[in-house]
Amino acid sequence: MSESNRLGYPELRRMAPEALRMIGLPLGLADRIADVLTWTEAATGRSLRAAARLDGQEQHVVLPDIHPATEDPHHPVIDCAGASMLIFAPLIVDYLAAESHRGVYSATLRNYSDPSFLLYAAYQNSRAGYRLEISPAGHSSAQAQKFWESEELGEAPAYGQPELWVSITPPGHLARDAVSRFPGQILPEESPLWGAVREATVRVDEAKRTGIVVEDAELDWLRDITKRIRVKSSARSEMQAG
Amino acid sequence: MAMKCPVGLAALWGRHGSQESLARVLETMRDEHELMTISSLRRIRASSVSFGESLYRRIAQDNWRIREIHHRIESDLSGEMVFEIRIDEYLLHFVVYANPDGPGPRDGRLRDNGFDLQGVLYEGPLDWGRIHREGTEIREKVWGGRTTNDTLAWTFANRSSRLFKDMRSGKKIDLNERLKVGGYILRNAGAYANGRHGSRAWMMLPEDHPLKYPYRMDMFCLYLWRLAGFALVDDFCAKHPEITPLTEATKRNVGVGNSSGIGTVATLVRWPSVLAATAFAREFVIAHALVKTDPLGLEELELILERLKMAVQGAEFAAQSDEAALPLVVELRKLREICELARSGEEQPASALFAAAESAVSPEALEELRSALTFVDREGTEIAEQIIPLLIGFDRATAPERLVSEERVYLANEFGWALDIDMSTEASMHYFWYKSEQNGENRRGERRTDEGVDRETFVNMPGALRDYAQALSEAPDNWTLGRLLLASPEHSMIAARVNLSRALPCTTIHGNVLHKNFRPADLIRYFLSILGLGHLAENSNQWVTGVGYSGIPVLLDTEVERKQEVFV
Repeated sequence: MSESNRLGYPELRRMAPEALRMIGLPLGLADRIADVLTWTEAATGRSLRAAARLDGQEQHVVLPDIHPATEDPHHPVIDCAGASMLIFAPLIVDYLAAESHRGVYSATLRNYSDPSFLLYAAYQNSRAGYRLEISPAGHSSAQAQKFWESEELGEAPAYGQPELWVSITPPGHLARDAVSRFPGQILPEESPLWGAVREATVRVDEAKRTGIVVEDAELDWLRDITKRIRVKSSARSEMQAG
Repeated sequence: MAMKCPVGLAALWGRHGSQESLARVLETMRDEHELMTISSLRRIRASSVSFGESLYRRIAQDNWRIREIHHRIESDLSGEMVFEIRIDEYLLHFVVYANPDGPGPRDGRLRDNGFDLQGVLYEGPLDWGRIHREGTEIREKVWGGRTTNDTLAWTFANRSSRLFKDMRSGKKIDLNERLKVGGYILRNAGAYANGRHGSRAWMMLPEDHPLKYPYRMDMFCLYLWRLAGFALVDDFCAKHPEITPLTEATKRNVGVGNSSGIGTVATLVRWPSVLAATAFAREFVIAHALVKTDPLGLEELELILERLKMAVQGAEFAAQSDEAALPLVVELRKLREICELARSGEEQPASALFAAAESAVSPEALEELRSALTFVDREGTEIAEQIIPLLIGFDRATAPERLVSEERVYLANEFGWALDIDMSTEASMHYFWYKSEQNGENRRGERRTDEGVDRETFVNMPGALRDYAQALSEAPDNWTLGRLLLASPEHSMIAARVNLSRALPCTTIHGNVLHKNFRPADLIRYFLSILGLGHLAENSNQWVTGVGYSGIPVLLDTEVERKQEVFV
């Protein structure tokens, strides 16, 4: 990749809403998801690839279905029906953050794709004071670590992904209260998720200073899709310019 | 109703005074509902906290050293100039690549692929190899060009075609006569920084970096174009004895030209924290000056009169091309008389002077007095300068735990003005904004006629607020916003903006920019004023011209080292 593939962090942030709109996101959502896309591209280098994959798919804004777990009415199961976490990670985590104020401290996430975008949601909600844990259900800590560190994170098809256990505590609550409900008893200090988030934030900070180097194919895609939002010019339109 | 106190201000104020005194300032500020209407924003003028003024103070007070170290301009006006900039430990270079005079005037629009002058501002030592490489990139690829992370900005400008045409005519010209009421030599055609073309983002500059402040990079480019203009003209005059060169006194009045269009309206809607920071900061300094009970001193009155003199000059300049500016000239002269009377009469505080003016002059002229008052309040200006980056850097986020029922009440109380707008009529939805295929230039189309409605830019705040209110009304009372947004994610942006308004005042323009009767020039004026431009004139209701850095001394070490030619 050449130096000319280096995008400024705010440069990608400015391009992202337009790219997301052109893959079909509503205008009122694209701006928010642009933050997710930019941060995750800086952190993992995989988000443009995920966005490019959504380009051309018709049904990627499928609303997740929420229903209580049969064994625990306070434990919702969120069936994402194949939806990408690029679009839904912050929305699902926000929903769970809100529910945590009502005593709902955990949930199951299934049939999702692109779990790497959950890193951003975890990071963002932790800044608002929430404590979040996410781990493959029934997996050991070592397996969870492998999951978050996997180069393939985000590449596997939605229905091949393990169910995720999500645990969340609202600001002011002791984190241990919530993680004690968490299968595997993973404490935050040892959490593979937070190890991955910490590494991601270091890479994001560096990218904010020096830019984000993007693969040729993804840069071509980004340039092409952001041009699609532009409207054909005419003598009349030139009169209405600025 | 007192102005809402933005998050962070109380802590900042703690170093300056009591919370009671802060409350007095906030009570003296105009109410957000009055300040943020389109007609109020239109009247706002450059103040001590405008980005250009803020930069100029830094340049003058911190003794930035700027000198031209290379100058090679040929008779066809092509060539290069290099300026060295030393600010404490920082070393920067501004490289100007000048192209030959074209067949006609250039507009300086985003659709253009050619400019008279292209500039690169980079951090680091003089490096001719780099200057040559970057020159090839910016000249040949323009919008498609890429730079490296040590570049702070790319910027474009055009020569004043009329001025240079006359200068090259061979006729005898006195430039001092020609530019006696101000004006410009170069017209800015934009600064592209903060990541654009791969440049470094200003927010990631080291804390002590002199350009780490909102819009400082853009305004510094503007400032450098002013200096480059003088260097061009001085050199030209030295080679053409028939032209009387500019004196230092005339140079003081000569700034750098700028023309802005409807894209600035989309910018103001898109960046609510920029709108909040700029509208709040200026109003804060005005109120800070007005609550003082000490009488204005002679020096302060002189300074106010000086600012009003510049305002009159600016209005006269604008009236040359825009007749609508004529009544303001008359009102400003009346205002100057009131201030001159105050200078010769009994001592009085700023509030008494303001009260006298308020009953005598038009609201537009009164806004010039408000601006002038900001220049005599150093403390208020310093606090406001600290508020601006705080507010601009404020993250937009939702409050997912808030109940739908609470949000409905908040929306009705704070955004009632938007919910009351009937957006169902053809007139209220008449226009839409979009980006054209010509380099993404912002354009405005008529919804019924023009192509591109499906790709419209977000400017419809009232519509988004109304849709959000509708979704809230249909959701169960006990749902949280987190639940609502999972079911209706299309409201995410507006929910975050509504939440932002809880932390910051002045985040929204109280009006409908899609309406058939909306004049983009009203908000373009506001944008140019917050940048610090004066001499505002409307070329049409879609274009506003202005002049930056007019009326300030030229702080340039004029020593030029004529180096060997490095461009082959």
